[in-house]
Amino acid sequence: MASITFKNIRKVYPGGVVAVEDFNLEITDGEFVVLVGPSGCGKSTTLRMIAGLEAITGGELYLGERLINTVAPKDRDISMVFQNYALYPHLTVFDNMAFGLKLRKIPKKIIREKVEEVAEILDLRELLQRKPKALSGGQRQRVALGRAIVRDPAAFLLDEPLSNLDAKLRTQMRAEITKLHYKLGATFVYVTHDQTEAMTMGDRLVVMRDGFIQQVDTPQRLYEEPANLFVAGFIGSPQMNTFDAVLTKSEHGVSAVFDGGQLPLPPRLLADGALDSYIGKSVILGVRPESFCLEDQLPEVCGMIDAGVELSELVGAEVYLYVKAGDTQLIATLPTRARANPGARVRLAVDCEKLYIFDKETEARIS
Amino acid sequence: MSKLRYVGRAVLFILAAIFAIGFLLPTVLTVTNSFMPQSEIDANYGLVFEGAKKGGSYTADRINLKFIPDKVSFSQYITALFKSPDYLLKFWNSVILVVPIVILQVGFASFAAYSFARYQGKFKSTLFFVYIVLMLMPYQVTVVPNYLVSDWTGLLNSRWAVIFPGAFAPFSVFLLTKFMRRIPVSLIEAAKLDGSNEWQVFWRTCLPQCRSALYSIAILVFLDYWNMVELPIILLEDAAQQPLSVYLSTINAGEVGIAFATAVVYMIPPFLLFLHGEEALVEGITHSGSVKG
Repeated sequence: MASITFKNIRKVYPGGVVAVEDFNLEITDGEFVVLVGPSGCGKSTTLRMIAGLEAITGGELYLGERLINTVAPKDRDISMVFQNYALYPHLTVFDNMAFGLKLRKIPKKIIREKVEEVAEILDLRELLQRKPKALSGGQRQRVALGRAIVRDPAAFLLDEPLSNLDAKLRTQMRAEITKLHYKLGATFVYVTHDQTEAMTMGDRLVVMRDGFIQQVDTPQRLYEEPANLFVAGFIGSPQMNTFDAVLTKSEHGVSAVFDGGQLPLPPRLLADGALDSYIGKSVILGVRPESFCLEDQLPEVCGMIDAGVELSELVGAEVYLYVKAGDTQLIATLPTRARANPGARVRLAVDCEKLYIFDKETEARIS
Repeated sequence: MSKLRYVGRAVLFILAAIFAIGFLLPTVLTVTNSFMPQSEIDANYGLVFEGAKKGGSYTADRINLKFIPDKVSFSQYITALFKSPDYLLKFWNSVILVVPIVILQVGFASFAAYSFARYQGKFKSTLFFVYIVLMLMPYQVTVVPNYLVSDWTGLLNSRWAVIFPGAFAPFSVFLLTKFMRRIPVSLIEAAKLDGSNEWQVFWRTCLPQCRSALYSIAILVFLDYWNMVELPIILLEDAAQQPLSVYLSTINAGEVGIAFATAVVYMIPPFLLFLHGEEALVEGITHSGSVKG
């Protein structure tokens, strides 16, 4: 087991395309860190740099105390699970799992013991003599995990390992991987573009965009305290509502006025004075869909929005209401009894304690 | 519409059957006639070769094509295999020439294809283009340079003069490169992370993926060189070293019955090879992109 430390890591591809820039991070021993972001944000490149599959253009990468910038992949003591599993099609499940150990000239008896032990953990015992083509997607995924585990590496790298599975199996395997992390206590670095996967699995999340780290924090804090508009929009499902508003001051206090209504800002948001310089100016207002509620559940500080329903989607215990207030499009997550037909008018309450305000130019969160 | 389709299929079937019979007929004739005694052969084809002996052509006014022998005889086989050692020696010559060509060509092609498929280089695409151009050239174009190089290296009139050009032929490189490019990069990366060095990636991960391609290439190369005539005639002056494929034409002029038997014996190795590797051949060629992209 080992920690992974990035110091000013930079990756530039031939042709000058900057994939990762000024990447600084310390992943502690045994931590489960998820690199998350949209396609092309540099998350897979970062993972591949840890594996040694991509050369590092600048900066220093440490595995434990060892600088590994130029260490060959085979000498890094790292295992990786690929998106397409990358199982050797000509070998049986047993041989796939034993491959790395055989190359390291581990005695046959120990190889057999280790493979069988891991096969037991992953429920693969019955499949050991099968070839990969005779396995289902979930089984292949488990073999890929088994191949990674059996070598007992310093760190595990997982590159979107669940993206080829169907929704049900994905949820199941998500839990399996989390349990496995608890069981092994090893360092896991996981790459995904799926924020639900990231939120449910990681001890800490690294949100990336265009090669830069946007924010590193626990899932809970990322959700509650996003550093900027991008993180606020990326974390949470459905996505946070964001729209232009102007902060205005009256005898009742400060309000955010937008096309379709106005929302009072609670004293908590104004307490640190960060918003003082924005009074009278245009900002970006953020409201999570979950911050809407029905009139009979009004929070302490709330604002009301009158809107017209465009669509309602029932998703089991909740309903997503797509509404339009003025020219502002909003999504609200509400109890199923709030279901309404398109065209209906609704009056939605907003918990103003949960409003987010972003600078319009820098997109950084002000409050 | 369905009636039209039915008629269309019937016409296609008949056409295919005619072509199949057309292709099979010479082989069937050779096999059945190889079981005829010499007297029956003489009676059927004597006139044909009579004309040729007198300096005329192999055509005759009356050819008696006969598929079923009046009397089944193994005498031609007994002569070809036991009584006359020439045929067996020539057969052995064929083996000595073709087997090294197949082994070396597949071996060298594996290395070259791995490099073409795996490495990036300034001149890679140009070099591969040269390979394709060479592959498209008819061998008549390269036979003179081959002769000159063999002469210059002192290999002329030795088996190596035939083996070397065969060992470095570009066809296998092209086919195998296409196949190796299909191996997912992640598989190679997984092998590297598992602890493979470059040789182990090639030997333990890449080559096993190419088993069908290697087998199909081996079959195609074997068939190609098993039937070579011009190259040994030009590069091997010593008739004692020439393969049976060259010798068959000289037998034809004389003992026709033995020619039939020898031709059948000569057909057996490629036929067995094809039967054994038919599946791999189809899979290998298909995946190499020669049949479909």
